[in-house]
Amino acid sequence: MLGTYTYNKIIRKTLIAFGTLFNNIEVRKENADGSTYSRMKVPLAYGPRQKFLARITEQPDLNKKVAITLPRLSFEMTGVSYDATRKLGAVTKSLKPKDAGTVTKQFVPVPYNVDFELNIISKTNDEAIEIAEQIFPFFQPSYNVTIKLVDELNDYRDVPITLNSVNYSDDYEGTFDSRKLTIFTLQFTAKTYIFGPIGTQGPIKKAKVDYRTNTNLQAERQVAYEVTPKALTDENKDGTTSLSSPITKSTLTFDVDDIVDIVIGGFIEIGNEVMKVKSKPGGNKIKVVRAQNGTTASAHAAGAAVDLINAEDDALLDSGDDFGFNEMTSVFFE
Amino acid sequence: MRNTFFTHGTRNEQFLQQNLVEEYLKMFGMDVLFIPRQLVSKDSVFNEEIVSEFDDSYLIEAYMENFDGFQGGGDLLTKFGIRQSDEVTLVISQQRFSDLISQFLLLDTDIELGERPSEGDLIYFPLTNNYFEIKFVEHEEPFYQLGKNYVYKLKCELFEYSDEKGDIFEGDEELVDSGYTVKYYYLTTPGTSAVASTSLTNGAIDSIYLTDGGSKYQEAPTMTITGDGNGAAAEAFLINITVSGGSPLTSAVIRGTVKDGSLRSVRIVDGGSGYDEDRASIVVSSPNLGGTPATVVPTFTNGVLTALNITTQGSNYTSVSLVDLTSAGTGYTTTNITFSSPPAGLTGEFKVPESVTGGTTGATASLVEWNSVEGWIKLKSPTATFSTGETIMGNTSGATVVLENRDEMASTDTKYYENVAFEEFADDILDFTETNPFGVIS
Repeated sequence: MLGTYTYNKIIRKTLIAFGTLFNNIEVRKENADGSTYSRMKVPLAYGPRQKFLARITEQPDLNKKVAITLPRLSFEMTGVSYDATRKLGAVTKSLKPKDAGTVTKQFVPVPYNVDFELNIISKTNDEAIEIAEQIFPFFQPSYNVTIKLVDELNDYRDVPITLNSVNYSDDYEGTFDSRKLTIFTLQFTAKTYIFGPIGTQGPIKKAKVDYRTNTNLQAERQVAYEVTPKALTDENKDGTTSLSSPITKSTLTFDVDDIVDIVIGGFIEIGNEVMKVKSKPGGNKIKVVRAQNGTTASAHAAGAAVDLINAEDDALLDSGDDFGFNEMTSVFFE
Repeated sequence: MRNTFFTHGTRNEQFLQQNLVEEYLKMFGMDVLFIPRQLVSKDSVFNEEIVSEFDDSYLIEAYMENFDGFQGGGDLLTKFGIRQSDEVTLVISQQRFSDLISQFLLLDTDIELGERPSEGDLIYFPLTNNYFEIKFVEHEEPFYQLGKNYVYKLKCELFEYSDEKGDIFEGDEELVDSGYTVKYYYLTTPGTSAVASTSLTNGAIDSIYLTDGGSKYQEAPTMTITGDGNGAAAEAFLINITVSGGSPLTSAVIRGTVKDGSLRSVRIVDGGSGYDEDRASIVVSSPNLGGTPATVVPTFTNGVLTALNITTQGSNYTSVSLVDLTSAGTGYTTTNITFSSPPAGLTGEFKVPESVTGGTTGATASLVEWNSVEGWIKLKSPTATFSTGETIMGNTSGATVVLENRDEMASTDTKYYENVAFEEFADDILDFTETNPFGVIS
């Protein structure tokens, strides 16, 4: 019934983001004079694993020379729960431009909390504290990680990771048969969002409003108002014609190579400047109003391409482009 | 009071008993290596070792009390990976330890106790190829036979390795990657220098012709112009970035800086004018074979190039591709242009393991692996970060190598160790546009 296959790997991504925070922690030992004796990168791993894989990767020749190498960091996911306090209205959806002619649509995600446990094991107290003190100051009590939760949306979300509690155990009493073990256990919660399937649609290119003076929807409309996007600059680099001679930034009448396709009242673009064609005084001359649609008047060289801004450019407009409006008002008489 | 007509162990009886014990140990025991712990420094607050080293080993015969296998919990899967918790009880002769080993231990000031095997010392067990740590020395079992104890019972369990140093571990392949190793690459064949010539007009240089761009430069070489005139100067670049199309009134001039093969920064020397923004595009010169091209996105404001944004840094831009004549000079009849040399690779042969010292930073590290075919060395526990272009010298062998590239995270201990894997996954999904407080996230 639920049907649409979707797997955005969000819990996995949250887990990776959490793990990455702790992948570059170091332990340093000092000489008596304060100089560095050695540096050590603390190995990190996700604790749970398949037993057969653990055995064949860690003990390929059936034996380890030593019991284990220390210090180590290990973390695991301990729970996933719904967070009602962050829930937004279920029908809100967001639209984002994707590629030419497509927009992705996505309903709001469901907020979920993912709990993690991070364990620090070390041979000595000092090393355990050294590692812990590299972690604690950044959680006040939470640290925000910005994660791209859904690839297709390219939408980065802040996911706060909160340090809930710290537990420290140093097991040293008893017979000499048992080993001293120093372990820090840190409990975290990551507040993530789980997204559903993503749809696509085309960008909206027409909006229409019908006005009626009667609440009966079957009645005749009186006025219809329609807008469509209008290109403000050239989109298709048509290069319909070109300048016959150079112009300065104040030239208003000039020659082009071919005047046939230029329409009086239409817009043209030369270089980065948009001009409005006022008239065609004769020959291949055109008279223009300079610096239209927010562009700046500037000099142009002979041979510079003259692009027409017309319906073809309107059709090429896509989501994310800057545009104006073509309006059409229809009035209906009974 | 006990009966004085019976002896409870004379010295001769005790010697006989000791000899019988030793004979028994030599017949039924096995040879193990006793490795004393040198306690270099201690933490007097937590009462813990800070630095321990294991440099020496002594052969001694020992009887394995648990003859039918190791004691202990065996192999366990823990949240920290597989823990092999084998235990063993070894019996060694007190007299043999005193004769063979104690005399040397007592001379070493770093060894806390020389008279007896002490807790924390290691035993290497050749039969199974394991390091065991002595956790308790039992000296009263059997209890005072003939008034004396003859053996130590060493209760041992497998050692927990925490990057302890010393000759014993230095050459141990299995333990090399534990701790902190960094892989540094060097050139197996050195690069070649760029070559250029000039043409002169009225004693001044009017053009420089680049005949060979050279190879394997890490950064743009410096150019030196010599000859009988003076004042000429030129600058070399490893990348050439131009604006193509857009019918400008004046052309833009862009210069890029390359380091380690990648485009690091761009500078707009002149933004040009009159560019048709729709028709202008940025052209970046091709990298050397095997490289990826850099990409740069321009921003024009009223036909003038005002900003460039590097979207891909590219790789393998290691040859000179552009030369700027910054000063033409005067009075030349002949000129000679020389470029500084690209970094050399290796000279000599390293010993593995040996300690190495950086020529620029003065940092030291231990060279634990060397692959002369692929051209890399693996350095363990560097005291500071070595920089690329730095010369590293082996303290024993005298061999030198110039670092070309480094891979900070390339510790290859993939056994229960996922730091690099997480880093790579996270590169695709995390946005650390500010900084990652926990370390380097590229």
